Amino acid sequence: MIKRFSFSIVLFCICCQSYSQDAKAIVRQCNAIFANIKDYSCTINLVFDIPGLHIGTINGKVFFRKPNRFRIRTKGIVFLPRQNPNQLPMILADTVNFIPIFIGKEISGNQPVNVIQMVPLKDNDVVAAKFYINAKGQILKAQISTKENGTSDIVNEFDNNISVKMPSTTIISFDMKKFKVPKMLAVDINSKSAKKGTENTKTTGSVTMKFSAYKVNQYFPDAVFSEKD
Amino acid sequence: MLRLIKVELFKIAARPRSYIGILAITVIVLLIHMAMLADGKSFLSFIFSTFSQTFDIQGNILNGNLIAFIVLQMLVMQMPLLIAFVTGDIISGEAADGTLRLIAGRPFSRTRIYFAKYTASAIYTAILTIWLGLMALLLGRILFGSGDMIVLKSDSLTVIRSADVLWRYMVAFGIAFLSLLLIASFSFCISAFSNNSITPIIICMGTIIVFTIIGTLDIPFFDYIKPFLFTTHMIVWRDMFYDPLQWQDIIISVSIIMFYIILFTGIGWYHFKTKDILI
Repeated sequence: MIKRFSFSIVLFCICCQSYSQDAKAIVRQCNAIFANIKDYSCTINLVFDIPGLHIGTINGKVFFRKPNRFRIRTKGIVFLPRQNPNQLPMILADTVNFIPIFIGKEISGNQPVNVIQMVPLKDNDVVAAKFYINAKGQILKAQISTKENGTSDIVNEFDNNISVKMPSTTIISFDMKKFKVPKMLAVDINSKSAKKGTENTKTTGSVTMKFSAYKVNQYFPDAVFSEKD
Repeated sequence: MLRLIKVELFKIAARPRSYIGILAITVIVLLIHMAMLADGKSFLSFIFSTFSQTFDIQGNILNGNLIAFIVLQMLVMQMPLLIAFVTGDIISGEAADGTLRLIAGRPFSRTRIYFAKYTASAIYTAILTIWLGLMALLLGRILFGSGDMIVLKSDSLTVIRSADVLWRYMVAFGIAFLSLLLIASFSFCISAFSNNSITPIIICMGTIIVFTIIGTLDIPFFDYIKPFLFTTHMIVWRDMFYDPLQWQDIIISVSIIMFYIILFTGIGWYHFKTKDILI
């Protein structure tokens, strides 16, 4: 009985070890893409689908510099998700705070993907991160749960025609509370009531970011991260 | 006719009460601007708290365009009072003073007298609207700067890009002028029936207060009445700041406002033409 139990434990450890080895190899492949990128800039087009917020599309510019300096510059008012699109490769590259676990294989967007769970080793804002990585090492999908900002789903699309192996589109989806302020506070007195059935009951929002004109490892001053728009 | 209008405008300018409206707008707008300069950011951070949990809101939110919108929203109730205060007195005040009989004895038709007075009232209404626009929008932009505009509603926010703001404000002020002209026409109409200056102002304000209360209450029974109340359509200027623009609703409401203007002006004119001016 004891022999059988010991054998099971050893088998489980071997499995975990081999799954971890698999996961590490996949993460290494993924990190290799991002390892060569010290900084980049590109243009961005933001499309918002947020309950309770009517805002048109807006264009801007993105600046990123390792390790974690990121800024989207736009002219005018913009609601940017707190999740930084570069957070995904940053979590994958962080071998000190996270350990990768291979979950299995799935089909996502008509292609097979490896599902990797990044488990935090220390107390971290990110409590869970699940990645769907294809054979090329591209992150097609991710689900990030944080203490501060809740859970968000991130979907990446890649354009094979561009040489840079960065996403051409990133869609960030998140849950949010229904927007409601007292009528007197919004000075919304005597307003027409919403027609029955047209009230906004949606509680999931999304922001679509379309990237183009990537300039990788080309100098831009540090001031772009601190200058006022 | 032009001479008559000039005389009527001179009479309005000579009355101290005509300046109460301008003074009141100036004081209210300055107070709101001062309050926003002092506490605007904390006021907005409370309103945006739902969004700021999920988003990093960038850009100059507290700008002149938003402040002007808040000012206009706050003055929804006060502006009709300020208009009725002057226009409700134009015929009835003269009837009370006994000068109306003197004018009626002059070689001018009553129609010309009526419309000269009405045109002077409309010009006064336009001056008050322009002053409100200058104080709210121009002063707001000087103090707080310009940029994209956030439109506050109790259940949603709309962001209007800066290139789109000014023309929307121009149309909104045009609609606001028509709404106030409706009040001027209503008080002017009652003024034609009355022989003392207080009655038209009280009737006008009483009507607006009752209609506004009915409009504010979310009781299904009132939903049948609301489309017929002119106060429901007077706030249609606000629709100019929604996205997408509901042109059909705006055109319907403006048409109803125009209908009421013509109706009240016609009733007042008909009564004034056939009225016995004894005092």
